[in-house]
Amino acid sequence: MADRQSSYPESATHGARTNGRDAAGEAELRAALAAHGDDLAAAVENTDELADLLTTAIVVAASAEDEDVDHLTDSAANLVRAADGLTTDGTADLAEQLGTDADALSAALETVVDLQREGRLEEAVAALDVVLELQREGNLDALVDTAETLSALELDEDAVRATNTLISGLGAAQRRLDASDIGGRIRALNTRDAAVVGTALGGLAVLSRRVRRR
Amino acid sequence: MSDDLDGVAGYMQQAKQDALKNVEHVAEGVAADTLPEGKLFEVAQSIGDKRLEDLNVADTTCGYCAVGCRFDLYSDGEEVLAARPTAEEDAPVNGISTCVKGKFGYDFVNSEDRLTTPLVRDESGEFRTASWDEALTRAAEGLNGIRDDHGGEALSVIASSKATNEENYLMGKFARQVLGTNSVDNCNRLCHSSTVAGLARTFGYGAASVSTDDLEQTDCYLLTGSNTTEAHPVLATRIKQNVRDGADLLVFDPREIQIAEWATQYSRIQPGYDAVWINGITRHIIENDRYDEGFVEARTSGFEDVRESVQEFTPERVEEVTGVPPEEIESAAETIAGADTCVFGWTLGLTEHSHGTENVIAMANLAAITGNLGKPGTGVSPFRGQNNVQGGGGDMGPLPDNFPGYQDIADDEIRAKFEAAWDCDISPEYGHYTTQMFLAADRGDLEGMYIIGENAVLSEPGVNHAERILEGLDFLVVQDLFVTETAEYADVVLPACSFVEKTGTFTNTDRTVQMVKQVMEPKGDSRPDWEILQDLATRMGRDWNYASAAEIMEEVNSLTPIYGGMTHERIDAEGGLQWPCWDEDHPGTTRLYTAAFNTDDGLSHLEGIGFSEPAESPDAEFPLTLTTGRVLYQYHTGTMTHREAGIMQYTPSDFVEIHPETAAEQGIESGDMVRISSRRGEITVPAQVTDRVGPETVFAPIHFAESAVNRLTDEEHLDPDAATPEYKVSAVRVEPAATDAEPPTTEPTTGDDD
Repeated sequence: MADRQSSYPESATHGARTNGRDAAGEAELRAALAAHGDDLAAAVENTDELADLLTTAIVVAASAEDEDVDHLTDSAANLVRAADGLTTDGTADLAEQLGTDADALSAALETVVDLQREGRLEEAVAALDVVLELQREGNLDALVDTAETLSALELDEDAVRATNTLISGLGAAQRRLDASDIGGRIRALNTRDAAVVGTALGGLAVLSRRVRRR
Repeated sequence: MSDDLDGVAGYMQQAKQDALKNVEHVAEGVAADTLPEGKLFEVAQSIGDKRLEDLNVADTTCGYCAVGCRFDLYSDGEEVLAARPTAEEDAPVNGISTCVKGKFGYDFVNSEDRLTTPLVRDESGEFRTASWDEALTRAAEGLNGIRDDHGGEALSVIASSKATNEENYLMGKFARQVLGTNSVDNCNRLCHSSTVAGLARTFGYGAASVSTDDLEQTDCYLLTGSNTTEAHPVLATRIKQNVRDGADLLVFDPREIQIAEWATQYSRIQPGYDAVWINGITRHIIENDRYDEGFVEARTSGFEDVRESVQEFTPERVEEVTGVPPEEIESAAETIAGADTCVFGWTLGLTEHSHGTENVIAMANLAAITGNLGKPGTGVSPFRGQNNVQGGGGDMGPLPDNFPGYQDIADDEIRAKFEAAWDCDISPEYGHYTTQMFLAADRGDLEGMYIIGENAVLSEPGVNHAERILEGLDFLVVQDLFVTETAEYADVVLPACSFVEKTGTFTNTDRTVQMVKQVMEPKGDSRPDWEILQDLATRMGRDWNYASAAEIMEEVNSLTPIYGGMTHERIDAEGGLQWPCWDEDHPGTTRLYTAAFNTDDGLSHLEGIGFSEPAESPDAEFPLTLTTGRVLYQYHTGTMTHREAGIMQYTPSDFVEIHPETAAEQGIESGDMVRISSRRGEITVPAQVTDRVGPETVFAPIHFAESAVNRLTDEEHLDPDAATPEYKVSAVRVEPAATDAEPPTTEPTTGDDD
């Protein structure tokens, strides 16, 4: 015979498992901040724009695997076919700009893919985790630039360079596109530009897919 | 979220998603301005397809009602993200349709209070967490102790119609082989057991004779006691479409429910007298020679008995008893008799009575004398309630009187077959039905229970009685997704997992057996019911060694003739199979009784049904009749739907429908708190003043623990054949509650009736 017992340990529930995981993660974060916080605080500037760019870099760095590259290539090829023959007048200058930025993006992607294959990006990703957490908490006052931040963390030079190239490319593209009336000016891209845009879009698809899976 | 994304990385997940949205926005801008729409669509499709590749996608069968809708469920491994139409050939019942619950009702899987670790009692009687090993050991010791001291008959099992066929097969086997008791039953006792009894007696199978195709092509429907649009929305859509295209729809119900808006004829009936008005229709048809003489002669017996028994149900008497005017009886009778084909559909308004079996037989008589059986567009169609109550609750034999496939345990030859297969002795004496278990425990004949996926405290009639019984048991094991009101009385609580976390089969309301496929891993340490049963059986001395649900189904195939050809492989390949399916070469049975009934002589055994009335009638003290039922946005006692925030916005709490005249007499307005009292208890709920009900009737939903409408219902007066309680008729009094009374706060509750 058992009396009615309406209370039971919360630890027996799914909620406790989820919350417990969060609590453990919080402790881990605190430890990371204790180890890196002072150095980073001196080097990192707190801006939303940089946060976005850093995150983008992480996304790209964490996303490249062989199958992703294959898909990226496929997407580019599809887009080349899709965009082929769309050339019209009056868009050459913007297409050129876009092409330039897209080249940078493409090159950066290629670099990080290589680095990922070589297993050299894990450290960069982990470090950027800390940077962003510090930023989220509002503890960073002096984020000078990405390169300094990454250098402060003693990252591999190739990783720093690749990430910076990528960030620069993305940032430039974003700023320029935001400032332009693209819809009124672009009617077509040449094949090369289309390929680059395709690469970028394909990359974004891959990145989005991988990130959401996590 | 995987473990390697804790902490910093966990934060990063969100940060990455936020940033990605920015970047995607830029890319979308670029693309939108540089590519034509058609090409953009191709790109979007390509990206979408690629993303979907990383989700778990499985075509599975809905775990809500028994319509048997199939769809693709998408999961990221953590939660159900979406339900989308599956290939049409894999969704024979619903096609692309699903209702609001099947499409959106999955928050319960990830609910914070989802039980993921076993619980046992500590020395002071408090719950504490335990390992599976300890919990199963305790469960085995508790059940063994009662079996050794008092015999297996002192134990009972309440099986779960939410669980798969394979699991329900094992629940029945566990009761008989491991515990040594025939007292195993399930929620069908609370709903359609009178359907099963009535149809088995007249036609041979206790199930719908129709397939969904018949529902879509018939010329006429007689629907009663079925709030189809709310309880079986997808079937209701099929019916409405056919009515729109010209079919007649006759609705007899105490409430002018939504489907009545589509009816050719709606007749309001006094609850509890269904056999009276059905016999009135039958009488008119016979008296006016409108019956199918050829069918009656060739395929039925007992017609004269029916003819004689309906004589007393003159139009005047029917009106006096049921409130249905003579012209409406005549109109309905002429419509049915004049139609080329007719389907007779019902739900619990016909069955949840102390004479539910008689009601069903009266309906079966009507179907038979009009020749509406065994032909396209004809048949009887009880709409089953719980997702797998047809298969798990009936076909698989977790029943006190039947083995799987409705094989009578009193039949020596059949019993010998199961004794040989299960290596045990089985008593030929029937066990207790669910409702009888509680009465037996009250007498001291039952000492322990193993309740799986049922919240008996809320779903049994007479909540106060059920609570007292569970508290007095020597030992109680509850197996569920949550610590239900019933589990609060348990000695051991075992965490089970839901249908999205396991594989097996469900059987729907038209006898279609369909695949249930796992779309995510079980939460925490929760486990599929069949695995728990297997471990417990092994600890209690039986060597169960099933490797999969498919393997269990193979055993079902070998022992259950109507499931003889139902392998997982075939079911999956053919998108569902309807029983009987005798062997691997048999195509399954779309429509029953095309050539013969499943009786010893192949005839339909008609049976005269006389006057019947509710066990309890209104009187001066309790002048109104309470009837209970469901609403669209809730499901049973709320296990799944109360944890869905969006759904809870629509029907967040209990209520009672009161006719404007009745309300005015009491000075009650919509929203006022009212107290409903019966001879067994009282509840307080807000009033909803509406002429949907008649002046002598009130209606309350069954879904809410806080008000627990079953505190008002009667646990003693049961159907003599099927032991179904009389949920649909309780004499009550309604009066304004204290002015400071407030609506009960709805907390997530659990369990089910049917």
